[in-house]
This record gives sequence, C-alpha cells and structure tokens, in this order.
Amino acid sequence: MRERDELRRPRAVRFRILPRVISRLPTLALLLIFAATTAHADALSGSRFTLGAFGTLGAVYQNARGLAYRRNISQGHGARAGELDLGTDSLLGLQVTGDITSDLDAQVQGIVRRNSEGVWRPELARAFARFQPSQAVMVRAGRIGLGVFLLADALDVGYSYLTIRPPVEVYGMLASDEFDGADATLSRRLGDGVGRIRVLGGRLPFETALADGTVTTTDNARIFGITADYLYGNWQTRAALLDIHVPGGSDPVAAALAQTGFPQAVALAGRLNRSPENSYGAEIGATYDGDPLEAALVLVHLNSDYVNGPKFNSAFALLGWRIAQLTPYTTFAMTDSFATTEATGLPPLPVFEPLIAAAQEDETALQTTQRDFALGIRYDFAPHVDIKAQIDRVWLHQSGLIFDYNVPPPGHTSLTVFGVALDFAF
Amino acid sequence: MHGARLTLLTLFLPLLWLPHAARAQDVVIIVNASSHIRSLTRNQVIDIFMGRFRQLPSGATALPIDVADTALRQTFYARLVHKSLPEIGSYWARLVFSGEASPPFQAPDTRTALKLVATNPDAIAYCYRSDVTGRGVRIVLDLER
Repeated sequence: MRERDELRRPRAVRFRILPRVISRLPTLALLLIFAATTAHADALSGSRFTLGAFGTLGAVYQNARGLAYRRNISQGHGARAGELDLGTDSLLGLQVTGDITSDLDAQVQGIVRRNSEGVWRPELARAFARFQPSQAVMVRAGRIGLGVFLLADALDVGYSYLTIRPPVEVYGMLASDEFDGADATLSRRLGDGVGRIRVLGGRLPFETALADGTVTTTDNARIFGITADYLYGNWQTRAALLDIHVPGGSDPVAAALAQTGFPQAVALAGRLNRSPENSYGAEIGATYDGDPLEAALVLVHLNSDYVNGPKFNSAFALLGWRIAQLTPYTTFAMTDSFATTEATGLPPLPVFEPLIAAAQEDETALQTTQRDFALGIRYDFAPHVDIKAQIDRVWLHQSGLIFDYNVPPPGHTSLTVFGVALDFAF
Repeated sequence: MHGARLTLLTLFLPLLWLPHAARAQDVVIIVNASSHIRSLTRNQVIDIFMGRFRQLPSGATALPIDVADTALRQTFYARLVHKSLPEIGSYWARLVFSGEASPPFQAPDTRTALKLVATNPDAIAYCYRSDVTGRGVRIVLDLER
C-alpha cells in the first residue's frame, strides 16, 4: 500500500524526498551501532564493538610575511609567518564499529579539529552501515569517506601515510573528505591480482573559506564518482572519474555586473550565475608499497563548465626509502590552473574600479598555480606511534590554497614551511 | 686417532641437523584438514591477509587469523609482503578508519590459532612448520619456497 502511495506522488515530490532520506542515513548508522548491542558474538569475531582512536599533534612554521599556509581550502585559518601554528595538522579522532550480523556492521567516527571558522569543535566525520554479503560485493550507506583519489582513503589519519600531510596541491583542493549517500564496491580476482570497481553517489556538503574571513557553505551539491583499481602484490593502480553538480545559487558580483547594463558585463554576469554548475575530474595513479621502497605517482585533471569553477591539472610524486625504523622521503607536488579570466568590459572609471576588482577576484578565487618540493623523515619509534619532520619549499603564482594578505599581491612568491608531527592510531 | 675422528664427528654433527632445523622455522600457511584446498598462491594469501579479497578457491569467505606472537608475526609479514610491523599497522590504520576492511582476527598464541583452524573449515592461519603436529590442519603454502 505504501509503495502504491509512493507511486502516486508527483515526480518532483519524490525527488524532494531523496535528499531527506540521504540526510538521515548517518542517523540510521548511529541506530545500527546501538542495535549491535543486542547482537551475539561468534567464536572468530571476538567483541561486537571495536573502539579506535587516531590523532596528530602537529606544529607548522613558515617564513613568508603576509601569507598564511593552509592544509586545504576549507581551513579558515592558516599558519602565518613567524608563528608556530598547531591547528593546521592537529586533530583527534575516535571511532566505534559495531557488528550487527556477520554481513552487516556500522561505523561512527568523530573528529575534533580546528574548523573553517578557526574554532576547535567535534564533528561527525563518518557514520555509515556496511553490508557485505560476499567478498565480491560491499555496499555502504550513510556518511562515507570520499576516497576517490589514490591514498586519500583516510586523509585525517596521519599515521596511515608517510608524509605529515597529503600534498596540498592535490588533496588540499578537496573541500570535503566525506559525502552523505551510498557506495557499492565490486571486487573479483583478475589474473593473479584483484580488480575492484567502486561507484558512489550522494550529497556533498562542503565549506570554502576565503582570505577575508568569509566561509561559503554549500549544502546542496551532488556528487557521483566511479573508481577502478587493480591490486597486484605491492602495487595498486587506480583510474577515477568524478562529477560534482551544484544546483544554482546567486553570485552578488554577478548581480552588480548585470545592473551596469554594459553588454560584456551582463554576459559575464550570466556566466558567473550559470545554473546548474558542474565540475568534473579524472585521476590516474599508481603506488608501490613495499620494503624498503615506497613510491606513488598521481595525476589529476579537474574542470568546470562555469567561469569561476575549479580548473586545474595537478600531480604529485612520492619516494620513500625505509631504513629500519626510519623512512626518509621526498615529494614533488604541483597544481596548474588553466582558467582564463574574462574582462568585464566596463570602462576604467573610478566608479567601476571596485566592481572590476571584485569580478576579477571572483573569477580567480579558486584558481591555483603552485609547486611544492618537500623533504622529510618518519620515525616509527613505538608500536602505533610515529614522529615526522618535514620541510616544504613552495612556489606560487596565484593560490586559492594559501591566503595572501599582501596589498598588492606579490604575484610570483615562495615560502618555506617547517613541520613536525606526532601521529598515533590504535 | 680414534679420538680425533670422534671429535670431528661431534663438531660436524650439528651441521647435519641444520637443514631440518631451518625447515622447522619455515613459516607455513595452514587451513582446516577437511578443506578441499590443496595449495594457495602467495598472491592469494596476500589478498586474504591484507583484506583485499578474502575468498577461498572454494568460493567461501576466508577467516584469516593473525597471531599475537611478535617474532612469528614479524617474520610472516616480512616474508609475505616485505613489510615491517609498523608498516602493517600503518596499512591497517588506512583501511580500518576508512571503513574499507577489518584486520584479521588476532589469536593470542600459535596453539589457539591452530585450534581455531582445526575447528573452522574456512579459517586460515600461519605458524612455524615445527608447530604443525596435529591432524586437524593442512599446509597449503610454504613461504620459504
């Protein structure tokens, strides 16, 4: 009967229900965790609950006056010159996993870190139910890690990777590491390795922090992605496609440009206000995770069909060499923006100057051309704990990642970033 | 003269035992004796223990068992994937906190691991060759070969 009622509902109403269902998926995962309290354990599963914790205590220092170094575009505060900043890399995470049946479990993860407004607050990072009826199929629903790019499965867990932070030129452009929705992973043996396809879709809430202190919150973006992996011995290769769809939204700069009545400015306003906005990305990458050598190469292309959307070619390469408990490493990362700015067509009169400047800033706010060469060392001095030291030399032309408070902006500039971090995961 | 021969024999006698002693320290992969599996490849064992694809050739889901004994565990992962225990910890941190897979069940010692394999048709574990004395388990891979 309920199904028949559902079918009678107008199509538009059904589409409005879907986002509501998606937004309640994390709550469902929390309920499933509580449901696990009533389940019974078998001989090989051990406890029904698994508690986990991870964290990083990191300090960052950089030397360029007027700049603030950030880990990703959602961080509202960065490391300023001459100050020891503890908020760029530090965080604390707690996780509980509950087994409901042998095929079904639920996971909830909370993280305390400095948020986009610069305040230390806990947030719900993961809350999903996982159904795995066989090794060939795994379905998850709730708040899930995005994990589209290679090595980005657990961006917040510093202990899980070699460097202090994932190269910001590639991973820092992701404003969110999680989405509310579902994913399905299909695995099968291919030759002597394992082939894996993952399809994901849902709502992608994210925040973008700007240098002037404003934070743009986007709640209604939708994401669709597909990844294909091949795992063989110590090798993993991945190809991934990603589509992010932002349905509408008005741009105040566009509104002001439209009011001028100049044809070129009105046309630019139309493109800035384009609705819906689509961004799409592609990635290929490979990692070798052996001993003593650890290596990775990742290439990313990100494009948009709207004027001020993200448009980059990014890449990073990593080489690490393990010597007993020490692993020295080096990385090179880069992102090149290929966006072109469109002129407003407004005459260079004092009355239009603020609008011309605002339009240019609007068009280039997310564009980044930046390079980073890093040297570092990881020391695994105790089980589940490491300490790392890293020096980054960063060259930038324009950056949506690093805040630039210099007036006027210096254009080409560089900075040296020193970092130390203590990571743990239990 | 006779005494000198005896001394030489005493000196070289331990060498005769060396190959056997080395084989006793071989790390082997074991499954339940009633299982139809006769052998597994190294990559199949990697996929099972590293949480990539835990399916036995029979189609059943494998139940991998890790052993808490640090020396044995260290030798096993070094020989299987050329990784140290901190690297294994780091690997599992990524998978566990992203919700992609769970690490193998950990038995407190080899005796418990052997008992679990002997009583569970889909269980798979590792131990030293010298520990395989009972009838309940079968060796399906020797990591030294």
